[in-house]
Amino acid sequence: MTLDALSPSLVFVLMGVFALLLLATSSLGAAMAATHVFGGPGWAIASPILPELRARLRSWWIMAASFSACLILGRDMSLAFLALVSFLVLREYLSVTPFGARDRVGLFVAYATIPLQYGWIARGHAGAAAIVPIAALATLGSVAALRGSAQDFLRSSALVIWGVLVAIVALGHLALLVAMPASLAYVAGGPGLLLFLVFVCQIGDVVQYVAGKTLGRRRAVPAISPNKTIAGYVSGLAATTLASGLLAPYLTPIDTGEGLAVGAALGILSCLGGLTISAVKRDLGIKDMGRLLPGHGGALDRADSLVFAAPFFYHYLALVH
Amino acid sequence: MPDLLRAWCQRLVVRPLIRGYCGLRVSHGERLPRTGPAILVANHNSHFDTLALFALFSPRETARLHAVAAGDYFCPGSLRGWIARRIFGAVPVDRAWRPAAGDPLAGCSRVLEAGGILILFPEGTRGTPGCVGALKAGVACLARRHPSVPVVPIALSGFDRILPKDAVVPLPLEAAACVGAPRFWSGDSRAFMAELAAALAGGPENSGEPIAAAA
Repeated sequence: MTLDALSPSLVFVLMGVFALLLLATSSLGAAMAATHVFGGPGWAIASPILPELRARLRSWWIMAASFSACLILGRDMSLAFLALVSFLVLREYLSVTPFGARDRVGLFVAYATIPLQYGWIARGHAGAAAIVPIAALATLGSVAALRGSAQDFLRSSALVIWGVLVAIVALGHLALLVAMPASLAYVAGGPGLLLFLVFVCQIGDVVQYVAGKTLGRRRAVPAISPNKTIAGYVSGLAATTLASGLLAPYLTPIDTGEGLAVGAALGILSCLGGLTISAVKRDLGIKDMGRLLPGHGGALDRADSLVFAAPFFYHYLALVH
Repeated sequence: MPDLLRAWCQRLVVRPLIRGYCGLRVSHGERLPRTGPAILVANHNSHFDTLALFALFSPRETARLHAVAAGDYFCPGSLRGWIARRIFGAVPVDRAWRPAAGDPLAGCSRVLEAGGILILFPEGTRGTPGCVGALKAGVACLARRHPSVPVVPIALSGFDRILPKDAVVPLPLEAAACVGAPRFWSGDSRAFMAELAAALAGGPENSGEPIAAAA
């Protein structure tokens, strides 16, 4: 895909994203000014979280700008961007996971799966996603055999495969969407499918966060995700469903009615992705995966909602359409 | 005249390696001295520790930095010694010093008198990962000799996993540098060293502090 082949609906939705960001930035500015003048904004959002909101919004601008730039520059740049996301997610996961000096080779094996996965996807081999973790496991087994020691093999290989599954296989489905054959991606191209999925899941996250801070009281799963409320989950799910119904006809081969159903499924899978990554963080005893994105945490803290939603959406399109 | 080789090495190798290939979280970067003289002390587990401290500074500022290096390990004539001297401005210190050999810290004093920033690993060698070994007395001697020079402790963590002592290929992982408050010679050698050791042991792990990006 080249610049002149850019779909008008893709450009239109991207402009909508930046309009939303402008709206958010100006209302946050108004809220901060109100706090400054009256000592409190006087509406739902409490002033103590304003600095955090501001940091989050600033990160959103950077993420939206780099993501749109790659989408506009076409398929290859989008694949390179997603490979970088996989690298950052894997690196922050491996940085917080308890690996010893003996597991060092396994960590290199994990990184080696990135060029394997994205190289295959770039050459149009959609089966890459299934082979990559198996290839990694075979390599880990060979290393253990060469070393002549099975000590701790299950624990250390499980840690590696977990990272490969989340960072490269699951998030690699975003790249599979970009590289989707033209017959399925005819509406706004592969980048349109990627934009649809990312927007629908992220808008759900944003609404879930804001509603959780303002409306919700009853915490949904305090042991795993202490800040999530039932009201937050319901609002996020509704936002994802509505956004999906609204955008699906413009960016995907799905019509509005089907878009609502797919959106509901994506919303549930987004929550599940967030909860699964939260469970990993609670088990490791950390709050965030990293500090790459001020206000949000690490790259995986932002991408957790896509971990299950991306494979589902890819296979749904491949099977049903 | 600016040292072009050092500045470009910083731009093309040190910073991409530390801040791109690996990741570096800096806490309290605003505490770093922007002008010399100053002494930076850090815990030492990896060759990457020196690179990390260099990566805290901009390419223009690196000309001022001088790493204190073991004269026997980074010996003249070897590639290692050449890199240490040419790129990291190494000041050799004789670890097997005898009273007859004269002032072992003369080179360090010269750097400080010329307004340089001295990088010193007071453990004396790359110690056991995760724990700060006993500090050598050299840092206290230097602080006593230069009481107006700030001593800035920097707790490094993560580099022992990126490039351990016996490894050759660095592993991309995130590391952290927590810059402590500058200290001055307190008059009591033992208390001064204990304070530094405590500052070096207190890593920034999950402390929830805001990150201040260094220049």
